[in-house]
Amino acid sequence: MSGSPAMNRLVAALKRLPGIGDKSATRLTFFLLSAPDSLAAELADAIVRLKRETVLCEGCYDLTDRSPCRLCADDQRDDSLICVVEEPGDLQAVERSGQFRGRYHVLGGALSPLEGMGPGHLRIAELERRVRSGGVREVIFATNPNAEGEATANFIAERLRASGVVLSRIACGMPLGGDLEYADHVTVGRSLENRHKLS
Amino acid sequence: MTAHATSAIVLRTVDVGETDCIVHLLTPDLGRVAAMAKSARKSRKRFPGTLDLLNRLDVELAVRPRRMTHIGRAKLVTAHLGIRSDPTRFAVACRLAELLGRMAPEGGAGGDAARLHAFACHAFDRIETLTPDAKLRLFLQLESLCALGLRPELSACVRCGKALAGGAAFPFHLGDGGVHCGDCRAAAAHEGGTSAVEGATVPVHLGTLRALDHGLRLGFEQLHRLSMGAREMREAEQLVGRFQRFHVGLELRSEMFLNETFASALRP
Ligand SMILES: [Zn+2]
Ligand SMILES: [Zn+2]
Repeated sequence: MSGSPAMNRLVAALKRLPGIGDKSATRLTFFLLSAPDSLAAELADAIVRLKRETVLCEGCYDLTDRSPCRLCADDQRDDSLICVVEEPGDLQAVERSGQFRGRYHVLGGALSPLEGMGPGHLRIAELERRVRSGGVREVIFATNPNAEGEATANFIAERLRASGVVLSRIACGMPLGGDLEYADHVTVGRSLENRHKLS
Repeated sequence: MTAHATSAIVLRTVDVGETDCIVHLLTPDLGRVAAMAKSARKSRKRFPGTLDLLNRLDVELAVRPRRMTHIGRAKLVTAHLGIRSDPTRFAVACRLAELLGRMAPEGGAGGDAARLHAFACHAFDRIETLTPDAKLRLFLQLESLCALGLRPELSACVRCGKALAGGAAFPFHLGDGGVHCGDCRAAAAHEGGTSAVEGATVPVHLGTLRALDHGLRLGFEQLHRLSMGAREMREAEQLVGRFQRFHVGLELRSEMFLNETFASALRP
């Protein structure tokens, strides 16, 4: 791209972000150039603050502004339940459901042998320590219902089996608003397996 | 553009942008294909839970000359739930998927792709049903290499074809894919210059080669009839592992997880 060295610098920096190619980087650069100064300043400040003011919670390993985070510091929550998720975004999704009042544990990803992601890359040892330290009654695995997420849940469950705590997996089946006709047979089968009584 | 209906195994998926993903498939008529699945992570209707690692699918591919292949439609055939529920099976299956993903040829000449696809279907089925022990792991690796056209010579001298005899270890030449008998080694030494290939050899005893040969003839289901001592097993693992690395050209990423999983499965 022609243009000023500053423009080229921003394009090059944006291209290093996931999912952003040459075209998108150039488009964003032109947009910022024509946007009010305040937007550019706000964006730059937000990026700098993001790194400076985000910490890893020492309790649940969520990304937060303080450690322990609000959820870990909340003494109204049930210490005996731990919900295991892959990423901070997944924690937010479970929290939005309003159905869980226990503690969380963010693994930092899922086992992915083909991407070189092994157990050592995830916070599995930290989870084992939390369970071993006592007071935990149940560990709920809310990893994604895909091959890597399922394998991760089963891998960790095997490691925790000897601890004697209840190990459970979130239910898997038809999505709300879904259409049986379009669902694959495995999903329909699992929905039947995980059926519940109508009271 | 031609619409092409085929069966396929998902060897790998890579997310692209916010909603798309590239799916690496093994098919019986096009060989290995990297295909773009537009909106795959958004549209439950088009690809309902189908484009997942190791899944067996019926797909409709939009094949265009000099352009990336697109997946138009995908229907799940088998999800191999038994593989993902067992870390050892998952580790073995991922190694096979990675090996096929790196080594399976693109294009489907002369029925080779169909044979390789059939082998992969059979192998993933067996990983799901048989005990995933060290023997299955070893022979899956060896059979995969054979299916990829890298069959080592296990019963005779790879140079002169003479039957092998003797109790001492033979040097197995990774590049030639077999051992050299005493006569061939002596002839090579006489001509001067075995040193160039010495770095690419692995010492192996006749008993180990015979066990590998026997295991290949038995097939996965009958492997329990094959008994291998600890030394033979160690030697065989080293031989097949180095043979694979030599021909793939690099260490597979999934190898580390496989080793860790087997090591922790052995721990009481
Ligand atoms: Zn926390
Ligand atoms: Zn010979």
